Amino acid sequence: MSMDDLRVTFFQECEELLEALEFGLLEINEGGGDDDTLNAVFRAVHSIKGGAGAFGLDDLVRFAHKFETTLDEVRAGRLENAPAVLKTFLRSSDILADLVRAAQEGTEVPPGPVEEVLAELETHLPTEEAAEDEEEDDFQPLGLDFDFDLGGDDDDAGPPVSGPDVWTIAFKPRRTLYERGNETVLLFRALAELGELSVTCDESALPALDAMEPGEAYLGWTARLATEAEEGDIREIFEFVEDDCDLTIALAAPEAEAEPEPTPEPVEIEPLAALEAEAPPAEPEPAAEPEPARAEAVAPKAKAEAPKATVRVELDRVERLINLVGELVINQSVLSQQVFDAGIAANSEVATTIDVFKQLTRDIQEGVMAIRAQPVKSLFQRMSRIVREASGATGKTVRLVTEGENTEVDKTVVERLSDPLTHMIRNSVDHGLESPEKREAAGKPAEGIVHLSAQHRSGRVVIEITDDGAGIDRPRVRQIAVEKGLIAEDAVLSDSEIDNLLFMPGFSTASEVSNLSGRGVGMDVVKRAIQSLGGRISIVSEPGKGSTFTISLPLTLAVLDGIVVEIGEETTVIPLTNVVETLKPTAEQLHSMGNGARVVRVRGDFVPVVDVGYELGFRDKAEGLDDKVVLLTESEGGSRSALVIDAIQDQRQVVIKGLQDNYGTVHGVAAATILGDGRIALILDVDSLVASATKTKTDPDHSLAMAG
Amino acid sequence: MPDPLTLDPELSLGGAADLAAALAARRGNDLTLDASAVEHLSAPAAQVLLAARRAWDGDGKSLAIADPSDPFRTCLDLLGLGDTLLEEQS
Repeated sequence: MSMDDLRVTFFQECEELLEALEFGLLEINEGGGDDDTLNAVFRAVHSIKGGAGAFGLDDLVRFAHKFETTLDEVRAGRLENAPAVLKTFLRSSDILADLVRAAQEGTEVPPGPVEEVLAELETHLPTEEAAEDEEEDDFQPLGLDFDFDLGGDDDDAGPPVSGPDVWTIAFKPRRTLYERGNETVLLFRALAELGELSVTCDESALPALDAMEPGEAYLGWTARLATEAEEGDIREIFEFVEDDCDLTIALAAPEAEAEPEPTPEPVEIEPLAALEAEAPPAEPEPAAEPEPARAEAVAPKAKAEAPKATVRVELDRVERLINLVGELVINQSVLSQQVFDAGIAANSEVATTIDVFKQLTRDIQEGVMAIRAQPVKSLFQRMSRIVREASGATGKTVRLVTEGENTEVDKTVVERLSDPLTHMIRNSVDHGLESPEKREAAGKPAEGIVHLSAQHRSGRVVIEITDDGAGIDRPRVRQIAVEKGLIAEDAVLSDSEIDNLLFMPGFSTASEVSNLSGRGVGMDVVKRAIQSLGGRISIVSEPGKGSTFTISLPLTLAVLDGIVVEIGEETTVIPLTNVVETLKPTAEQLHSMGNGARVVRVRGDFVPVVDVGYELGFRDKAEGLDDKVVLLTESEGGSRSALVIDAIQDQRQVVIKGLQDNYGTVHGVAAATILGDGRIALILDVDSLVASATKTKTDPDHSLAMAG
Repeated sequence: MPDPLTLDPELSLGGAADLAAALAARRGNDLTLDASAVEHLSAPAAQVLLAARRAWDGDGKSLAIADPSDPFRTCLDLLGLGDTLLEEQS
């Protein structure tokens, strides 16, 4: 593993650690969490510090160190977990995340906030503790000569020089220790810096050369360390790896030092330590008595806390697998169709086997999709930071309540959801919630609540963002829309139509652009981002009570809900997200306009007609619509069109097959899929189809050229 | 005796696999490992060397580590393997 790979691994782990850190802090913040939570938080910071040190990321180390020291105060019970302290910790975890990202991208973090939070951390440290802390920073392990002449130097509470303690450290790394870029040599080098070290290697598990796997950890070690250092100092060295190894650390009898055993088993440590317990205590506080118990306790604890084993796999491999499974699904349905066409009885053995095959295929598909699925937890955690920042910037007190963090969605969906969700959360805090004074005046608690939830609902994932703010100010929204020329002044709009104006391009409540939401991104961009994920977004608002935005998303981008339609001789698929409703218009509803364009009247609105078969060159222009079906679609920006098709066959999920790699961008066609009978069906790109149809109407020559 | 096998300066986890492959290809011959350029020896790589030592001993062939660099020695000593792997030099 090269240094670069290690770096990549380090940052990947940092991401996980930061998540764990934030999760732990939030848990504590909400009154939950115990000592284990605190320890996990502490260890996350500590591990980041350790890794950062290895890569020479000094800023990160410096900050993490201070953070860790303050956390340790709480852990030691010297500092109370007061709300103010927790707030500092949460800010610290934000800064730590910034520093990690900056280190990863090689950029700089503005020093202002970092110093601010550092100073804030400092205020929670007792003064002498801070001083001691500095000392610890400068502390250089002294090695051999440390033992005799410098014993009492900086350890004023320590005993008179009584010679070094001898510790027996049994260490058996697991495979994961090396995979995570840790290294026995470096651990032992750190041990050697604490005192005099002698190491024996247990080679008994080493297989023959041709049978060994290079990544596996076969060797175990027993180290004897004569040192003045405390047990904590020794443990600290192994702190990053304690989940990845079997480790026992115990005080050995000093006289045993002379005769190191060749390959002592960890079991033998207990008698040794017990022996020490009987020996006259040489120190004011004999560490010996709890030792055997403690040495034993470490291993099971490490096991209990060890996370589920995971493998990191390149995304490409997963994609390839998903593609192949897509092929398999198609192949299976082709086979079923052929068996059916061959006239084989449904109760024959072949048909039964085909059924089992079908079931298996479906299971495999689900299993493969599950590889890419990940819980939205990380996404939601990022949002809690957004809320913190937004509430800080607006001076509102806001609490984010999340629900359904373990709901799993395709990784790409989770990633691409981050930006729109960030924007919506900011909006909720900035525009949705009122100021504390206004809230109290309205008889609400001063603290606003933003509720973020995720759940699976009939094959899709539904994400809701609810605030308990003032709701949408409909008169104002309407007025702005009129001012911007988005609607006519005398337009009659229902409440929900007014609410949906928020999603119109060009609508932005610009009169009060704050430095928070006023980033030139409107809700129309959010809507487009959701739509590009095959999702839908809707809004429900109640004046005085708040607003709810609901996002409904497919679980994966590899399949799509579509309407299978017939156009001429062709079968095509129209994405369901585009379709608002289907209708069979009567002759009275159809109106012709100049230059051949037609409109359909739907409940008082005139919607332009787009004859899909004609546009794509599948057939001649349909004269009447009597034998046709019309799909009312909505495109980006909310403009509606009436797509004319010949018949609707089915509504179902189809596996998306990209065409771009082979054919480039084909106008009006988004992708293709393979139907059960083995035929290829195009998936239409409604937006580009409508755009081009509208364009050809204003340019008759072009339309002729297309038709020819 | 065939050409000595020069060990990479950085014998990390990834280097261990390469080393194992390189050694396996030279199995059955007397071999000298040139350790003069080694700057870091990881435990997985040391494992491979140790297994090689046993394999060569078992085959009755000689496996010598020539000119070990200081870091190489230090790493081996830290792993408690200095005596096992470097005894011919001492």
